[in-house]
Amino acid sequence: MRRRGLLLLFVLLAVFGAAIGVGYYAAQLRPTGRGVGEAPYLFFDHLSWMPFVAAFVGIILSSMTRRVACYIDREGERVLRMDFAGRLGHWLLALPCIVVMFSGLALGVFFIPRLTPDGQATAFLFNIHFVAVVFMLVGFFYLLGNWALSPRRLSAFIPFVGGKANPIYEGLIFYLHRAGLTKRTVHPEKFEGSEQLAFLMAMGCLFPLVISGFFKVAARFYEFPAVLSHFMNLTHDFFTLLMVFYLIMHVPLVLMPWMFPCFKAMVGMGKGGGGYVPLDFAKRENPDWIKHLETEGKVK
Amino acid sequence: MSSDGLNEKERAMLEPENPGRRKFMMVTGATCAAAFVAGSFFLPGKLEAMPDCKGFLVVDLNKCQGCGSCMMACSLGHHGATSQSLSRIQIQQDSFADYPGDVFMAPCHQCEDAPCVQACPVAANRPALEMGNVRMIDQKRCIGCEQCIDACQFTPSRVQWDPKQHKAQKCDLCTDAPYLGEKGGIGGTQACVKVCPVKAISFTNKMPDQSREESYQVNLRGKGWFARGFSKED
Repeated sequence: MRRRGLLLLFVLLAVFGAAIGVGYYAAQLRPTGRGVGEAPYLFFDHLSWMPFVAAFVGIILSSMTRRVACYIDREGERVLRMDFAGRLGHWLLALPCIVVMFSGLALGVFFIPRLTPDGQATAFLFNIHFVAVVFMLVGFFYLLGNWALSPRRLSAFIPFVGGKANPIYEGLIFYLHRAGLTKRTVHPEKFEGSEQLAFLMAMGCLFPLVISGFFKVAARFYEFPAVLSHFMNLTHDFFTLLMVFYLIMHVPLVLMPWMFPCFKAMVGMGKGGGGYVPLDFAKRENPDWIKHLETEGKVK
Repeated sequence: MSSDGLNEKERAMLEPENPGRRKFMMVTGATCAAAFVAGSFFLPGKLEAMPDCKGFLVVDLNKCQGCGSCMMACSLGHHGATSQSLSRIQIQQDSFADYPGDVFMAPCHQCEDAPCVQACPVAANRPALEMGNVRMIDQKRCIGCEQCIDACQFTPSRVQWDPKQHKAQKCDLCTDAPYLGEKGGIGGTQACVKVCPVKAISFTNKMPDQSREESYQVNLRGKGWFARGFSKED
């Protein structure tokens, strides 16, 4: 499984790198036939259908995916927290998302100046943005497709439903306890309150970003009212900044000691790698989740 | 380890299939993807016929003193700010060159077949049909891709980067100059023409020869010029 994962990662990185290389070459091109002083070749102009198709590719991929339910592996003293499809969806969204954000920021957002010296460099950056967007959309719609097929998985992320504890209170106590400021503690499900809120924030940013992004691409072949275009540009910029703040919070927090086994599971490292976390860790951090798994008989 | 990469325990924990929904997603996804790919062949093309602009700025480089008043007026009229970086008319000075090559004024040509208009991917840069076909950039539409800046065949590019708004801007003959305080555009005032102390910039309705950049450099010398003892040819 790990070898397959590495092979897939290698293939995806190779395709991504090759696409960036083509993007660099394309930014140097000067298509002829449209007059003197023509602009470089922008993927967003000439392949504007691709982001839309990428979304459907994500959905098609999810329709071909089989999911493995979380379970306790007594023999191996570990718990499957995230199966291969879950990890694939996460990284297929997250890694391109980082490239998308940084290329977007370098292109200039609100008070952040554009960091390119000339039009050619701008074109290359736009092409990088495009390639990452296509990958990101596959990942995003792959996740959405997976949730459509398995709504129960989605419900684990969503706070305030199904009689769950107040996520704000839960998250607050969780971190106060970590900081040694209270003896009170919480018994989270698979995802503790702050993780559920973080999920809401991520989706709350990604949906407007994807919708406004689609709109911006569509504006290249369909003429929308100027006010709507302006609104979508602002929306895209605003949620980009919000997403950056999300990333700034998300990355350091998953590297904290109490989350590190989960991070290792997500990247397939260590004894509990490949989506598994150690059983004693899960019992300590997510006792209610383990109880539920035992009640449901998801023990092997 | 089985062929699908799962161990025995994981195989036993496979979630039940939902064949109906899977099939629906597969068929819908494939159909929509195919429709988008096929539809891309029928996307509308670029603007084919571009109506001529009905107004142009011409300059007299012999008269221009390089004072920069036009740049300040342009920036003030459009942005309400005194910034040469925000000016749409450009003046270049070369202290080491001899007169009259020491000053170069670069107004937008409002080209007949404007490459900047053709290059705009989102139709933000286009002829304003109700305003004399001035080649204007709609700031609300502009996505800041800089293709128009790159597409301009002249040096310096007659389309500039607005570092504040992250958008492109170009001379619109003051059609959209909110701080001008009077009607701009064709049939109205152009800030640069109005403030130039030596009248080195002029507005004309007659399209200069598009094949030569020099056709935008005209002789605007008149009484004031002669009063200083210069001839029309100086």
